[in-house]
Amino acid sequence: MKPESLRYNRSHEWVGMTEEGGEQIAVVGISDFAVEQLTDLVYMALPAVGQQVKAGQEFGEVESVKAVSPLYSPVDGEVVAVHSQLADNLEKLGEDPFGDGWIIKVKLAAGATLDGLLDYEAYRKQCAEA
Amino acid sequence: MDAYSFIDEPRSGLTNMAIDDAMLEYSDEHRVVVLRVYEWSEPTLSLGYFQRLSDREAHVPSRELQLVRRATGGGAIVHHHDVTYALAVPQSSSSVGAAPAIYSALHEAVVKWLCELGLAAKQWREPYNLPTSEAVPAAHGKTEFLCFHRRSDGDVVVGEHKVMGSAQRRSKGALLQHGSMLIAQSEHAPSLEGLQELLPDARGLLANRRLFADELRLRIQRGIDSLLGVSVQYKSGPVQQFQEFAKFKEAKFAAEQWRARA
Repeated sequence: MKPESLRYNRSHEWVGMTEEGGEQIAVVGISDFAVEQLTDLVYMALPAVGQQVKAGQEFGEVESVKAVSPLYSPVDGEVVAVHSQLADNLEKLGEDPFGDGWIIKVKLAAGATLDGLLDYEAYRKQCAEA
Repeated sequence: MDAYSFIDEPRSGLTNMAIDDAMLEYSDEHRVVVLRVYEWSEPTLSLGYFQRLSDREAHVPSRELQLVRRATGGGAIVHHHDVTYALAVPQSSSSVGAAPAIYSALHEAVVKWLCELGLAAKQWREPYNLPTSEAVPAAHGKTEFLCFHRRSDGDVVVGEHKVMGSAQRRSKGALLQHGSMLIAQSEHAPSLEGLQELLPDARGLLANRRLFADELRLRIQRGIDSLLGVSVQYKSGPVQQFQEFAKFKEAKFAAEQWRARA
């Protein structure tokens, strides 16, 4: 996905909409900035398919050499796919954070929107100020 | 910024983890720094958040000890002859990953103290795994099981001996840092030497754990001052409130879902 077309949490998760099987599905990952800041990722814990997620709430965790950091969902909905190979191939997050480094796919809850998330420019501005 | 700092009495692993979790939440909500220095009421093995429960079986010397899983990362620690600290610091909601400046500032203050005591202490600056006969394969076979067998940037070492390590956990608006200082060798981790073995002349200080804990607390406070660039005024803080709050959190750390999460 093109980073410019995505929306972002202040906590660095991105979300992009795609159509799969006639349904609008939200694809979620973490940005290149976050991957760089996390450095030396060693473990990742992901949710199960079917789990409900809520915008702003934890859906997973990552451990770098010194820290455990939560991952926050940018949207409300149900997890319909998990990138299960990612935990054993964490280098994918760094190699292709906006593509093969996707983490979960979410079927949006009724009425859920991407409103309130940062657009690309606002997100990049936040990163520049960090 | 307000800051609280206190020495706590020795408590069980569950209570210690519950109080630290309460501190993290309090720090996030009230935007205050909270530092607690403590010991453990009985020898306890604490697992890093992502470590496999089954890995503890392979570490024979600590196999019979009580076990608790920390919220912070890193390797397992045998809490027997150690002094532990927990530091909760408010953070921006857009902060991500480890905060190396925090452990570096605290560890530098401890390094300075150890040097004053006559030890050639420094912060470790290269990746390293110390091969020992006691070392066992850790989760996913990638790293050593025990924290004190691992080396990563910033660890406090004296020669080849790691005497202090720290690990962190982020919440939405705060960060918890756990650290442990190895005072003396334990029969539950016999390959690890502590300060007592490295510095026989300091036995007086090391024998009085309360005195030692208080000095450690003061040194960590200096590290926090250095980190923030100001001389912080510390208060003892709402200790009873943390304890009351922690009672509700003990169930989380006792739950099989938490204990055996990996």
